[in-house]
Amino acid sequence: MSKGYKFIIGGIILTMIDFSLGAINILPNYLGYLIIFVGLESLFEYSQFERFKQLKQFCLFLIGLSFITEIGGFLGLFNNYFLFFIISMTNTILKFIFLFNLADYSIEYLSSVTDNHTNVKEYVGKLKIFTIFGLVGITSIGFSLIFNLSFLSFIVIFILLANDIYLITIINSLKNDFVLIEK
Amino acid sequence: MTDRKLLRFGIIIVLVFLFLSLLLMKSLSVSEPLFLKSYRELIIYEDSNYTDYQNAIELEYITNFTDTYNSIESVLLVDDTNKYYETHLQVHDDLSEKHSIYKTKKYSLFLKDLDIFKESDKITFNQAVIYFFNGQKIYADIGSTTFLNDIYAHSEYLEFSKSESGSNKLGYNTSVVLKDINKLTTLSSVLDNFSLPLNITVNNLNYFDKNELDLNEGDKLHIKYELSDDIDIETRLSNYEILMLGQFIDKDKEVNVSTSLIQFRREALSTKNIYKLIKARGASK
Repeated sequence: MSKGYKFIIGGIILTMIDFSLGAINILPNYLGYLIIFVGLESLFEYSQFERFKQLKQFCLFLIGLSFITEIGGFLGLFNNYFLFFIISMTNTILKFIFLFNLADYSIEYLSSVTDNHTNVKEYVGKLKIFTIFGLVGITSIGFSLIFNLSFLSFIVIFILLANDIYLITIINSLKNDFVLIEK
Repeated sequence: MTDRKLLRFGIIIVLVFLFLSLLLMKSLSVSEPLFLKSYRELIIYEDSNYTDYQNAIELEYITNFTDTYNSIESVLLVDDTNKYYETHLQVHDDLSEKHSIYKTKKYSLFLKDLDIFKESDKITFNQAVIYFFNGQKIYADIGSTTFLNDIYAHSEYLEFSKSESGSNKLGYNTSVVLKDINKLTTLSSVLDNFSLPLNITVNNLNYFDKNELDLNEGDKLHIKYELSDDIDIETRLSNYEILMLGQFIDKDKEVNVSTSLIQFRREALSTKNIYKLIKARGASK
């Protein structure tokens, strides 16, 4: 389990970082999703938990979508602002739902292998915080893109990044719990 | 396991909110590029070898920030006798400004045929036919730019020493008088058309009738325009660069002198002002 979660955390970090050399994105999102997919594969192999299999399919869809987005961006297909807006928002919302499911299913699996319900409740509370901040962040980023509010975009990007980091800490705690249970 | 209801409900709210925001943005957008007006008087410099003119005609327009393909391809200028003139274009990307869902773009126009100035002492352009790369063609009222022959351009009488925009609603200029001048008037009809209040002081004393103005050598002439609040948004968002005409009588001969006087900056563009202008022109989608 630990190895799988390490891949997942690494993958999430990659989806958070964008680094381009000229027109070429050195760290495209699909690379991050690919690493997450490897992590999910490992989780499913170990746990045989059906939800992780569903997540793998979701992850494959995201790999495809972000690959198309990347190629489309490179070829200049999204020069139309509305198309760019729809593609960006779709990617952001789907990534958010995916990360929510990832944490949610992990908590669900944890509750099936542990009797420590206090711990599970704590995770549920943390995921609620992630959900609320994520929703506020997505709404704000969409609003700032529609009305071209650069200052708001700047702030919201930090909120969304902080939220993703918060999720990484949740997943890391889950990983540690699974390691303890394995022992 | 956890709050799936919160997620579902939240996502629905987000999508509805963004959809409504998109509708709002669409309703606030301009249906076609909106050209700002400017009123300028420019001097033509001419001698036996060449004709040149002080400045190019400036063209500034408001468009939606999402419009990517609406750059100008070519412009024809129309003078007050309805003749058409071809121009060269120079785009000022660095002067492009973003105002929320709007952006402004600026171009300089240079007339291709400068020989027209040899035939006339005064040419006024007040309309433009603008061709865009996307095939759009717009007839725009661009205010008026008047080119004047250099008969007025004798700066030895009034020294242009300072020209500033005091604030959004204030333009002023201070000149030093180098030779006696008996009369001061404006070349421009802009002031009369828009009833812009003109305040003149000479050596800090107020003058209310500029035609009765006596200027002596060494006087400090201070001219100030102020926009009052009741002036419409169209006027407030126009640019002015107006020449003032000084006249003096020397040995019973009336001579005109001028100074490039006031660059009257319009009220600063803001999203709110742009929206008011769009509404005033009925140009929203």
